[in-house]
Amino acid sequence: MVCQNNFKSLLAMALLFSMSSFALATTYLPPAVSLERKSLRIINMHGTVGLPKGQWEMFIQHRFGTFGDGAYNWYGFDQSYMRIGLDYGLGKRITTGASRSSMNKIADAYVKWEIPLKSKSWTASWYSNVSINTNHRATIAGEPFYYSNRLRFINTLNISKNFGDRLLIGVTPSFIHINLANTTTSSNDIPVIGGYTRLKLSNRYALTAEVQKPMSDQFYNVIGGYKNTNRPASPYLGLGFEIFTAKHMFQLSVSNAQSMNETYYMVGENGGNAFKNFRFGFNIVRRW
Amino acid sequence: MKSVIIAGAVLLLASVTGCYYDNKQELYGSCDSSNVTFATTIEPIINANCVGCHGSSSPSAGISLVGYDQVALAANNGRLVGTMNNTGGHMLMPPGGKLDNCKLNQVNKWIRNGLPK
Repeated sequence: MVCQNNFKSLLAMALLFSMSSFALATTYLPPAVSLERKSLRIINMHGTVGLPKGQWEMFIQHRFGTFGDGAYNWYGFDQSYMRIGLDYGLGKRITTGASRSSMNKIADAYVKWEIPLKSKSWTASWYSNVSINTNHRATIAGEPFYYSNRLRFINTLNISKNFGDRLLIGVTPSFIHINLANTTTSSNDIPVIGGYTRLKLSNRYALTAEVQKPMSDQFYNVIGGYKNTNRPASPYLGLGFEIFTAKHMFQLSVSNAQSMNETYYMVGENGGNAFKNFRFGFNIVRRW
Repeated sequence: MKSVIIAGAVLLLASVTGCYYDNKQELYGSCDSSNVTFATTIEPIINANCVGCHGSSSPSAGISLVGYDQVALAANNGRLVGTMNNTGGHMLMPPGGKLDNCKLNQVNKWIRNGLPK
């Protein structure tokens, strides 16, 4: 009898053990990765890290109307702009990608080069992007129309540092070139300064923030001398909450920019930093 | 490595040849909102930016913007200015992004002047 009881308990233990090991094997454990290796983007901006060679990333972004739109428009939910894009790890340190956004009908493509640094906590990259406004000619300008009128460029030096394994802080001096400015006094070149941060709460959750603003009210143009950068009174500001699930990264955000393209939201008038000017948005990211 | 070089070359070519220092005022003249009428100023703006969706056959949201009467109707009930400026809880139109300040000024001026034909 004693022997039988022992046998039963042994069997139960073995069953329990096998079940628990099965459960462990099927439970998804987030990979031990550095802070930003789950998505190329913080909210709208790129982080420093690129994709490993041969890896793909697909992202879908949405930005809704402002909270100030009122209850009738469900505080912005009735209106949305979207952007869809694909990124690819072209080489060991080179990532490239293209996307299309419905705001201003923009198609854009970029190349990002991770600068080799010996440090473990510091990372840096160079980011170059060309954006094409694909609106009707008449919407952009008059006749004779030049293809160059559609283009805007941005180059960014992206430097970030990991503090421990939870906090990431980045600084992003950028240089934006707009081919077709509005008036004779508006600058075609605009230097922008900003940064971002990411605080990892757990393997599943993280908080993010980013800010961008043109550096000066005037800037020297190679053609035309000093011109106005039309610096907006309030900076672009974004606050985000990240959820990393088994396969997808969800980045929920609140920001004052409706455009998701750097050359527009960094230099454009996004509205003030009052609550009514902010809008909800999200990114969904998937890698394979 | 070969693909990296090609990508680099394309990017270099694009960045060297793509840059212009143009502005609308010089290329296309300054914004003239002194003598705004429907036929000369407003109709071309509406035709270029709105009629694609708000045409005469099955217009989007049931709002047609073909011809003076329809546009004047939208101007009188505040929808035209509301949507173009994204104010008063109106959805932004055109959905591709706000029209430039010059066009918005011309539309505002036209409405203030009593919708001249």
